[in-house]
Amino acid sequence: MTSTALCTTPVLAWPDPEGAVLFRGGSARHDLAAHRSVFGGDEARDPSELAELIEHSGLLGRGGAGFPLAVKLAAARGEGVEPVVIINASESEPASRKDAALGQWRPHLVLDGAAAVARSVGGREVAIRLHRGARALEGSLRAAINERGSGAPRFAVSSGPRRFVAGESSAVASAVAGGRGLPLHKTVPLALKGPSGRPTIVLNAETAAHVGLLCSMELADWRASGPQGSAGTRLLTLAGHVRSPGAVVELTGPTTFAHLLAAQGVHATPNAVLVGGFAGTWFAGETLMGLDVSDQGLEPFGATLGCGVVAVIPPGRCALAEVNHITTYLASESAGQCGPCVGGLPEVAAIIDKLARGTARRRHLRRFEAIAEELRGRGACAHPDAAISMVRSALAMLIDEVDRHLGGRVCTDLHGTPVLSLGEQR
Amino acid sequence: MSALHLLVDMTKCRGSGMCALIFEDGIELDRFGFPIVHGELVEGRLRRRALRASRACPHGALDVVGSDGVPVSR
Repeated sequence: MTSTALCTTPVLAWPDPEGAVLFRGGSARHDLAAHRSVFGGDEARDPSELAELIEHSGLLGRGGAGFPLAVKLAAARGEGVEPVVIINASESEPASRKDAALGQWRPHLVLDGAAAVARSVGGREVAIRLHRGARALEGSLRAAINERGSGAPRFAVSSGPRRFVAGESSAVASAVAGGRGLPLHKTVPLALKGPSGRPTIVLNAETAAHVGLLCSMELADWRASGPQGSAGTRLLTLAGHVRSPGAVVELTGPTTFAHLLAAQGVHATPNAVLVGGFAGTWFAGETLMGLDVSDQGLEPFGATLGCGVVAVIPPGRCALAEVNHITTYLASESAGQCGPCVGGLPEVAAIIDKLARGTARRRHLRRFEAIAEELRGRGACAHPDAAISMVRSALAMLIDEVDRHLGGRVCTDLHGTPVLSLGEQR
Repeated sequence: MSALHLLVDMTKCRGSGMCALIFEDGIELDRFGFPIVHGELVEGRLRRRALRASRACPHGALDVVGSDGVPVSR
């Protein structure tokens, strides 16, 4: 089921259908020969040259947080101990497909990038972490590793349970170090000291693939290849009411959400759109459509493209029912380690459930704000903060809909199937 | 002396509330009974209280740490 669903996932480039860089050559799997003929990228560079290249690129992490890769690598290099290098291809975000698409169609680009990062920090091994059951992805990566023979670095693939917080970087680092695979209490950044005691670099698969690209093309071309203000192209996953939910889009240049979505068969202005995944930001359709699809375009709203999920709720469907569905899911996906998260998220979910059912009053929203303030920054990981930020954006951005519900309008949508599907359907 | 502050390891904390009993000026409990810590520990008495609270935690979840995040001795 997983693998067939993934195999039919379309990969497209937009706004320039011919401008794909990561997916140059179309969405067929590249074995090593095909990869080398399209990308080259097999000449050895010395570690300092690689470090310089990554620094000059300005590449930001593509897992959602957008942290500069060069800063992470410099921290790890400074410790004088061989770092642990991990590629995070677990893609916990239920609607996201971009890392799976990369691992499946461009495994060698991910491996090239991982090898370059490892080389730049003196790492001799790379661990690749997946969610269990991603058979097509795992098969593609293992086949690619076998094709590359016994050269450096050594790659080791492992997988763990499919749960939301298992993809958080410290949870991934914990699993690779033989721990429980849950988010860790961090007193220093992983890049300085991870759970193994060694500096630990956790790299999203798309970030790794971009390092692979940097080794195979001119820096200026790479820089010019993405959306506004971005270094490199950017992968999105479309979800909800679009022509092909799960389609992966490589953003090749500036475009608006209206154009992007029109190309996906969305012609009526959506009721609402969730940008950046389940930890992302809600927008009313009419607010979003004219904005540029880039971190810069979203910045005035305190939003980013995050992990790249763009989820469309069509006209006539209740957005708060979707917010409710996601909030309940996020509350249930707490690792169960930290009291404020265990206690707070179910309360938040209960308030949003009342709101969606038309039985909440202003005082319930005030209670939500009080809980949100109390929880802020108090989880070992960002899970509670992210859930609250998503809910807050819905309350602020979908204000007409919130008002109607506070006025007691009963939403018939609550009994239907949600537009956005959750992890179990993968 | 360098600035010290309290750091809760929420993955260990079980909400016993001992810390807030001992150091009520610096720790309050949220609605679920888990500690919220305030501010820097500049002055001697506060610092001693904080260290006592840290020692009293039955789950070893509370540390007094320096600005580098490294715990000072309990």
